[in-house]
Amino acid sequence: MNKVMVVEDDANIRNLVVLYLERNGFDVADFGDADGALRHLEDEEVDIAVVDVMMPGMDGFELTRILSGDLETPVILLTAKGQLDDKEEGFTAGAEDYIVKPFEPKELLFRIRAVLKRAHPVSDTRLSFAGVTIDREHYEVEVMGRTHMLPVKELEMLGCLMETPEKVVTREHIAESVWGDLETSTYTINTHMNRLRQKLGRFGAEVRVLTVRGVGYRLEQSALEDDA
Amino acid sequence: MDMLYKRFIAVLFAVVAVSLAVSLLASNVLYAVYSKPKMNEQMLVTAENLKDALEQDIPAGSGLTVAMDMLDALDYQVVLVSGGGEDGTGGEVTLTEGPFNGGYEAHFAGIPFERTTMEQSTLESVLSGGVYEGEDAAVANWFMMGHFMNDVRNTVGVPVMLGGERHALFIKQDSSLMFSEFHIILLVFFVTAVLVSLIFIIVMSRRLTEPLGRLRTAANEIRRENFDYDIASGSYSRDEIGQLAVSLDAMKGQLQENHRMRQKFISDVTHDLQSPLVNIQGYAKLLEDGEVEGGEAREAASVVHSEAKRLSSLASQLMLLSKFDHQSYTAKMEPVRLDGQIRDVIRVFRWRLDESGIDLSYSLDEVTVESDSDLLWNVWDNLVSNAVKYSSDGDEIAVTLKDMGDHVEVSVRDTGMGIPEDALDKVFERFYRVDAARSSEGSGLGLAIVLETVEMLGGTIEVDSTPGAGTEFIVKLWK
Repeated sequence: MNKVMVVEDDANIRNLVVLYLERNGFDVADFGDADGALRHLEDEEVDIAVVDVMMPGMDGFELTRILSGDLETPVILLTAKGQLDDKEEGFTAGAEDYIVKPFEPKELLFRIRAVLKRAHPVSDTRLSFAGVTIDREHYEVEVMGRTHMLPVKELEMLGCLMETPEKVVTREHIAESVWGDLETSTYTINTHMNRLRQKLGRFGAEVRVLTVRGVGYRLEQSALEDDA
Repeated sequence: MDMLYKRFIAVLFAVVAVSLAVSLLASNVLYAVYSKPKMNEQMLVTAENLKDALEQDIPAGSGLTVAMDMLDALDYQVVLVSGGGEDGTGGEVTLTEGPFNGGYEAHFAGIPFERTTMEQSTLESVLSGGVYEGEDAAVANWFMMGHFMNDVRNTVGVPVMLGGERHALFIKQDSSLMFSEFHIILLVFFVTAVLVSLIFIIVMSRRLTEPLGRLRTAANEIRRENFDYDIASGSYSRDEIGQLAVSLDAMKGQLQENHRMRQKFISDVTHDLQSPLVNIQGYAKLLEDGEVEGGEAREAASVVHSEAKRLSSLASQLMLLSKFDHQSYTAKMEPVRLDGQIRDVIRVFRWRLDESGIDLSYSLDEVTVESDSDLLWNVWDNLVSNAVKYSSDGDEIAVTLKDMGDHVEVSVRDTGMGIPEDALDKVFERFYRVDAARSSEGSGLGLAIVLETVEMLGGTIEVDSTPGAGTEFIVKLWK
């Protein structure tokens, strides 16, 4: 379980964030100021910290410098000010990402996951096959000079297929590496695969995903006339 | 104001005083260096002539009386001294009519001298055949007025033989004559010049400073936001002060317009703050009281949610607008790598795209423009955010950046709900919303800010839309 540290002086916001993160399977330690957070870090480790910029005592930028510098902990900054002001200083201090208040808790969740993923990168973030290039860090696929953003699951499925193009990839492999769950139903995988197929067709990609009955899927280069 | 007026007068007074002093000094120098020696020389000639006349024309033995009568008829002040030679004690002697101390005898003719004291040595030197050339004191004073000093020292002296006896003849022009003419004219000239200048100075100072006083009153009225005050009512000269009045009048007009805009703005903002708050209060109360349950409760909560979002977007947009309105924000022009920036903006939206099932694609030429990075970020953020807001599951958004040589074109196209034709030219107005339902989250300020920003950066923005088929915004920026 990933450990998240939340440092925020406003109790309502802190409770809200903690609530959302715990519901989504994170182990959360929360603090009202930088001192408490730093004391906690003397004998505990965290995977990521969510830090408010404006706090009494040591401010968020200062804490970020310590966290990202000495402790190599990735930081997401919460800022109440407009993006025009804090963005640059935040990144200078070493923040991985920043999020402007008020924010959707879901957005914070998404950013946390993205930063954690970046901290443990996939071996090859970019893969290419038959004029199709995927960026697994940003969940993007580039076809014929245009970049399309794909939903996370679809992009990860395409990633599985592109790791071994023209070879069969089993449903089990997809279930495990995309959903992290071997029990994922065939129906779910099929539904996502069909959407991926439609999109690849719409993007004009010269590849197609073949179903290998009872086993899994295979990515192939397609001639243009086969596109249908 | 009074300060300026007084200072003005003081400075001009000083100017007059200094110029008088300088000219007086100059004329005295002229007198001492040039006029005085020349006058002395003339007096000496006159004295020599007189001496000749006296020595030749006065018959020997006819006595001093004849000589004095003759001298009396002239326009000169004369004193004839004889005798002495006994005790050369030095020091001063005072000449008096008839015999006086030291064995001298003096006879005056013409207007009497005011001061009749002179050095005994002077007297002795002339009596023994020397020539006396006026008094150095007048020259040492360097003062023209010395010329008019009614003093026996201010004379020239020559020796005269009268009736075989040595006399000293001291003579000077009748200064009262000269004084009355020359000096009074000069005095009248000086006094008139000074008086007239002073009167003019006072009048001119008033004229110059009085409009400033009126301008100050006008400025005070403007400060009190009295925009009805008529600045142009007083007449102003067409100089810098007149121009200042014109500028002040223009400033008043601008302030009045700003004031009006601000009033309108505040009433708009108040309205836009009030309506979501009313909803939040109302629905939160419903939930608190437990009057709604299940699906209804969820609906109430979602109203609270979306109204809160609307408020938050209003707050952040207002902050940006206030920067523009106060002109305190000046664009920081720097090279901006546009493709990278737009890609970053798009990636911020990816979680919302995942949520909503909207497909977003982009194609970005690698291009750098000279512009303000922060402001541009806000433009793309607004345009993409709008596209996401007015699209739904299955819609597509395409962002395209094209390098057109001297300029770049950024297109944000969506296949969302589109904008009705009659609303198309109003979407850039502040607080305009096509209808309340479609933009529950919007502040009505986003596109107004986009337009202001793009124009500030010297670009243009166009919108094209078909209801039900989608909308395209095209921003053109010069490189």
